Amino acid sequence: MDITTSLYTGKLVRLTRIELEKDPETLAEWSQEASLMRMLDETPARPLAAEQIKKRLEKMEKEIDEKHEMFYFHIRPLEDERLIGWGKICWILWPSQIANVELAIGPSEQNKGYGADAFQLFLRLAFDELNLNRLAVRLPEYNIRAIEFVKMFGFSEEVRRREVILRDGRRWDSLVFGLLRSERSVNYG
Amino acid sequence: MDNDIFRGKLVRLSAESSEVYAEHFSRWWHDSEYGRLLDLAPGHLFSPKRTKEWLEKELEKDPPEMWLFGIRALEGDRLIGFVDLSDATPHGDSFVGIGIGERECRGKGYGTEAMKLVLRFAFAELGLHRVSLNVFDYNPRGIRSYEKAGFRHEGRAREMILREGQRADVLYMGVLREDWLKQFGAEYGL
Repeated sequence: MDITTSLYTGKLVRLTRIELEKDPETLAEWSQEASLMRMLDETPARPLAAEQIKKRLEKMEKEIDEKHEMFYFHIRPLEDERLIGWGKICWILWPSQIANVELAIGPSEQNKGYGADAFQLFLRLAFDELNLNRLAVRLPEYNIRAIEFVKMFGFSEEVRRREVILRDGRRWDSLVFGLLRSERSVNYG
Repeated sequence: MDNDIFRGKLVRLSAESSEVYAEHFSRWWHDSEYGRLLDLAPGHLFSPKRTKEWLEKELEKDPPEMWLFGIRALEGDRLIGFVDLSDATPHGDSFVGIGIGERECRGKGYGTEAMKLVLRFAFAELGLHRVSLNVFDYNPRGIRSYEKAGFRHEGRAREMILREGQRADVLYMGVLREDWLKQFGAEYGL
């Protein structure tokens, strides 16, 4: 058994804790970027001030501590301390060995391989440390890049919830992708 | 305009006090099959007091976050289950949950009619665009009932449940207002 290989360090990025004093500024900038926020889910995009974000992070840390159903990380590059994204394993249901995974990379940090490196760390954490049997990702049907991304890791489309999202005057489906432990090694490192 | 939207031929959707709900919910959850049909998470056998406190807060919210109804069989006006719409989004989607707590009242069409009534409420009164639900693949009676009420299959999330040493899937179902109107509009004079 190899317990020396870090769960939190990849080839390009690290999973780290929240820096409550610095990170809210960066997250507040991203919240203004509707091009990022609208890609994540059906929650209406909404600019938030750093102060509001800080409160949300504090509340989330409390929930994580009380409920034991989420692992949340801020993603930074190996070489410096800047925030480049966030990700979480959430909605963990321990008796079923299932959870959802979410990942977002800041608009100016995309296309550098950070997302794929971070996602590998999340899969390793989910399967090798949390002993989950299944991971799910929810995505709007118009987020083509993310759909291609999760498929590359072996996820397959399982559910198409019709017309759940109303944006830009038209209806879009919300998709659920699933990856079972047994399918894990498909197509990646 | 037919305004009698809360009453069917077998059941009606009712308002109940938090005390009445709490006593019934607490008793129904002692039936483990009920809990395993309703919830992915293992059930807690909360006291009626605890349930009442939670419900009081929930029922006070105006507008409600959860539209909760009792299901009363017209015969004897007996409370046999509940149905609720919750997790409404600004996009006009909401999840429905339903349970028939009284064992001898299952498989008699009460649930199907209550579901039809709550869909009518969702589309004709709340103006929702769609209604969603999850059902477990070991619940064929539920699946058949939802199909009858107008729901269509939207997919299967694999191995979401591990119970009795076996993994089971969760089915996603949904009904769009447009499809519902085509199927039931005439029945309700819409």
